[in-house]
Order: sequence, then structure tokens, then C-alpha cells
Amino acid sequence: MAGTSTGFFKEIISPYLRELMERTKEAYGEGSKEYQALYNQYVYSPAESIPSKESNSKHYEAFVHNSQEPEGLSPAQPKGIERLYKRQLVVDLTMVCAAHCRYCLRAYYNPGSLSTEEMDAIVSWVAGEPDLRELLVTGGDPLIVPKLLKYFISEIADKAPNIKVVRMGTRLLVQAPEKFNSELYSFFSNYSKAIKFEVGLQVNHKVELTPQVLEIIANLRKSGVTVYSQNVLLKGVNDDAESLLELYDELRYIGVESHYLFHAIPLKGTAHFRTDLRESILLAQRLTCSGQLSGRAKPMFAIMTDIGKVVMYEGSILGDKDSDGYYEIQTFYKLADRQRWNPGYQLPSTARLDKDGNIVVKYLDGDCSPFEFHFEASEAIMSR
Amino acid sequence: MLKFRSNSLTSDEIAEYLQLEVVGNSVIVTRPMSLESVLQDSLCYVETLPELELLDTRLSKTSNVTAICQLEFKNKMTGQGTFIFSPNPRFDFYRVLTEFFTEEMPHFVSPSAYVGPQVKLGHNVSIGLNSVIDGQIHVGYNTFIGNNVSIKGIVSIGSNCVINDGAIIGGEGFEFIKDGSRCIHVPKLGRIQIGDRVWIGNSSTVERPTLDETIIESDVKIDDLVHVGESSTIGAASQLTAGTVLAKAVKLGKNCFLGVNCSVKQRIQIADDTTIGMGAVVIRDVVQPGHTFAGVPSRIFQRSAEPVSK
Repeated sequence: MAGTSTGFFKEIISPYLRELMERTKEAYGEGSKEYQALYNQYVYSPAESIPSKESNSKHYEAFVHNSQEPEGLSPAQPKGIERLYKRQLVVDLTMVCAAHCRYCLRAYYNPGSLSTEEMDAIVSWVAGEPDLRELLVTGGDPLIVPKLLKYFISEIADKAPNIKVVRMGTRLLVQAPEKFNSELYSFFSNYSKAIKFEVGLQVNHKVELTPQVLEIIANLRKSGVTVYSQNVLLKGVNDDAESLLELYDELRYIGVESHYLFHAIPLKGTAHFRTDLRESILLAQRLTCSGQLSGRAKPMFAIMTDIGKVVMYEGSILGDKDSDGYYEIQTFYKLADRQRWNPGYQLPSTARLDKDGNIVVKYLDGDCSPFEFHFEASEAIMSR
Repeated sequence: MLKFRSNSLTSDEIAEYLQLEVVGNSVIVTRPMSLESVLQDSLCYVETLPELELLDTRLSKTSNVTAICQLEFKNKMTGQGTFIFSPNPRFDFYRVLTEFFTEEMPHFVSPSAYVGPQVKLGHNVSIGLNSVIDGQIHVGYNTFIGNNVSIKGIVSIGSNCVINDGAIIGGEGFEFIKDGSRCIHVPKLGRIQIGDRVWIGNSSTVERPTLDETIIESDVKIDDLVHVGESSTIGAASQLTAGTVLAKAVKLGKNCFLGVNCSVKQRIQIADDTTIGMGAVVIRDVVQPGHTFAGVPSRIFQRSAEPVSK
């Protein structure tokens, strides 16, 4: 969750993560799953530069604009919002992050943060969209800029009473917990009568749940915030049932709800992270249908396609993979709905409509080959 | 109220947050500092040429300094440092300081505060120790009310205001009618309206009028020990510094600046963008906007965009 203007997604590893990696290496060893889980998420791999079919720089295109209006007559649309769904709107508050995940789905968004005027424009636009009920504030990492976040939420609570839920997508807790500003606790608590707050974490491996992280999660929950985690199935990080079982057990014990387990999105530079889709579904089934995991801790297995999120069920995959490595995925999204919520929305070239008007979208499969560990001496990483 | 919090950022993160161009190595920033005391890993800002010279001196002795510099100095930077170029360095410096290096104290209503039954508080309002809020009062969201504050009568306070310790809003206006040898107090039944983002300093007073309104528009900033007499109107974004006294029914325009200890006679009207010098006593209306007045009694001191008047 970060922006770049240079075309190269810079390696940023926070001092906290460097220290955690060092401690993990000492405790578990360099070849351990724990160390690799951290290393592979954050350290640049030469595999990112190998050309692959994963060439998209964005996971979908849903910036809100009103292209049905004649040129020049369209009212100014606010910057920094994306809309795929009726009830929800995505707001990109800032593109700053404490560290760069190498498989980031927003690596090639434009950098920057919203100004007060830009936030005001979003608030008045949201207030004029009565169908909207929920905002997903993301970026970037919205918790890294608490003053912007507080301003935005205050204005929403005052001027857009149609908004009942504000979700915040963040990895600040697992990337740099010392940067979490505790002024947010009383703020969330004091606004909890007006808005339900949810913090969406992404914890990919149990090793990320350090005491500092647990303390913040506990305090957020005391402040009335629901904390959930949606994570990504990543080769070399957590693509085995044992790691995922440990993770979901631990999340359950600390009161973090499991939400989605995502198949790694087909994006530029991420092919080496991507698992085979059918094998991933089997892994998710082994995880959730084997009696090993509490029903309250089970994630939904989902993929992020060019037209948005699709939870995988029996029949979601239509037929076999084509010769280019794509599956067709059945969804029940309708183009007309999309265009009603976001008039400028266009069906991507990878999607078609079925006979009932539902969107069917192509989805590039991952690779079933094992993860290749491009190893670099940790001293070199620490000195960067 | 804010307190300092330690943090560690990179110069790249700061530039990205500000959406500004950065030149030089990406370095760690752990503390914002004044240019005079700049140390390793710090952030400072440079707006003037003398400051630029001082920065060069500092950079010769200190490494890993990030400076937010005036955009027009882009080709003048010679020292070894990391430079973020901004059209408004001071403003951007304080944006970074506030966003990343401060923590707001929790907002809550103190158990020792009294909040009357007709008071309506917005979300996240804070009320300090021993404060009394009683009457038909509405306080907007995020407003901070300090310790020992008294707010009474019919008062509307906007959002994101700061009412500092000991301020009194809604004290009855000072007006008596002679009845022979006695002085009879005129009843004060009017309203007070305070806009959004207004700052009212420690121990300042805003008087309740007889029947009409005392109005403080949005973004007005009032220093400590200021007296706003009944029925006065203070235009948006005006600033009143310490010791200012507006007698009563003063109409102050927008975006004015009143220097310390100035006094304004009752029923005076002052045009927008006026500056009043320290200690001035204003006894005549200021009709033309944008000029500076000073002295006792006050007279024009400097015309807008013109040399000093003699």
C-alpha cells in the first residue's frame, strides 16, 4: 500500500522490521519459515525484475469519474476515491507507508496525501450519495497520518450521516508499531456512537504478532474498534497449512477476526509470490474443512480480479485454464449496477457478460513451482 | 492540547507526505528543530537568505540534516544535506511537526466539570477540571475546553475550537442605568455565537449582550487576557493579541490583527484587513480596509502597499 512516481517500487524496510528480522534470525535461524516470512515480504528480490505474464500495475480501475457527462460539463469529481460497490467507497488518504510490501497492490498509484480541500470535496461528495454506507480509508497507510485521518472522520461524522462504518486498511501495526499514535484510541472511542470503526490489518505470519502489536490491538479493541485481518497467500511466506493454522489460531486468541485469505493478485513483479489457484483452493479447503480450525477463525478464500473481489465457491471457476494460463471466473456483479454507482466505470478487456448480464472475468493463474529463495546476507539489508 | 511524541521518518517519506520534490540522500529524521540549534537527523526550514547562510554553516558541521527550503533557493543549495523545496517552508515544516511529532491529549469530560441539563455536546468534546458549562449551550465536535472555564447563558460554539483555561464566555455585559444615586444593572439575555476553529486564550472574557448577539466568526484567534465586550462582532480569521479590549458593540472586520494591549472604544467599526499597533487606542471608525493604525489616539501609521505616512 504505497505509491511510487519513479516506476521502480523502492525497497523500504522500517527500523522495527529490520530489528524483528534480526531477532527472528537469531531465534529460528536463517532458513526458518519465520525468518523467510519476514524477509520475503519486504526484501527486494531479483525475481521481481523477471518479465512475466503478471504485467498489471493496478489490481483494478475504479477511480470515480463521470465520463458520461459531455467534456467540460462534468462536475469536478473529488480526487482520491474509488468505487466498485454500492455501499462502499475507497478513499486513498495518503500513499505513505512505513515499509513497502514487495507484493503491494498499490505500488504504482500516484504518491502524495490528500489536502484539507481535497478531503472536504470528498466529504461533500459522499454526503450526496445516499447509497453509500461505508468507507474504506486506505492508501498508503491512513494510521501513519493520524491528524489527516481524524480530520476526515470528524467531517464525515458531521456532514455525511449516511456513513455508518469506517474501515481503515493498515499495516502500520506490523511494520512500525512505535509509529502508531495513541491519540487515536480516545478519538475512536469518542466517535463510536456516530460511526462503527473497523481496523483491517494484514498479518501474513504469526511471527509478525509481537508484544507491541498485541498491545495496540488490545487497546484498539478497548476503544470499541473491531479489528480484523485479511491476508494474502504468498509463496515463501505462508503457503502451507501449518503456518496458516498457527496464524489463524493466534488471531482468534487475540480477538482479531479472520476475513479474507487472498490469492496473490497478478501484478507486475509479483509472479514469484503467486501460487497455483486450484492448489490454493485445496489448501484453503484443508484449512477450513478439516476440523482443525475454529469455525470463528476461518477466512474466506478470495481472489482480486480486474473487476473486483470474488469469493471462491464451487462453480466459481468456469472450465479449464486457457493456453495463456487464464481461468474464467463467474461473478454475479452486473455492469449496469457498476455504472449506476460509478458512471464512468468501463468493463475491462478481460471481462465479458454472460447471458444473464453477470460479469465473467479472466484471471491469470499463479505458478505451482516452488518458491526460489533469493538470499542476501542480512548484514547487507541491515546496512541499507 | 498537544504533546511531543518521538518518531522516526525518512526525508523521502516527508517529501511524499508534502508532495514536494526532494534532493539529496534519503536520511532519517528523528526531530524537528530550529535552524539555530540544528543537530544530526533533524528537520528544519529555511525561508530567507540569512537563514540560508546559517544553514550552510550548520551543514558544514552536521550531517544528515533535512531542510525544507524556499523553492526559489533551488539553485543556491551548496551544502551536503537533503533539501525539500516548498513554496511555503514554514507552513510545511509545522504540518510535518504536527502530523508526525505530536500527540493530542485524550479528549474527555472531567468528572469535576459541571455540564448542565440543557447543554448539547458534539462528538469528542473535551471539558477540563472544574469547568462549568450551564445554559442553552451547544458545543461542536472536537472542541477542547480547558480547566476552570465558565460558559453560561445562550451560547453556540462551533467545531474544533479551543477554549483555554479560565476563559469566561457569557459573563453578563457591564451596563448600568442610573436611578438617582443607585446603578441598576441592565438584564443581559442575548446570545453568543462562536464559529468553527476559534481559539480563545487563557482568562479571556466574552460578554453576554442585552438582547442581541455577540459574534465571533470562524477562525478567529484570541490571545490570553482579552476582553470582548457585549454585542461586538469579530470578523473571520481576525487575531486579537494579549490585553486587547473591545469595549462593547465593536464591529471588527475580517482578517484584522490587533497588537497587544490595544483598546477599541464602544460602537467603533473597523474595516477588513486592518492592523492595529500595540497599545493603540481606537476612538474613530476605520473605513478603508488594509491599513495599519497606531498611537493614542490611533492614527494611520502605514497605508496598504504604501510608505509610512507622516
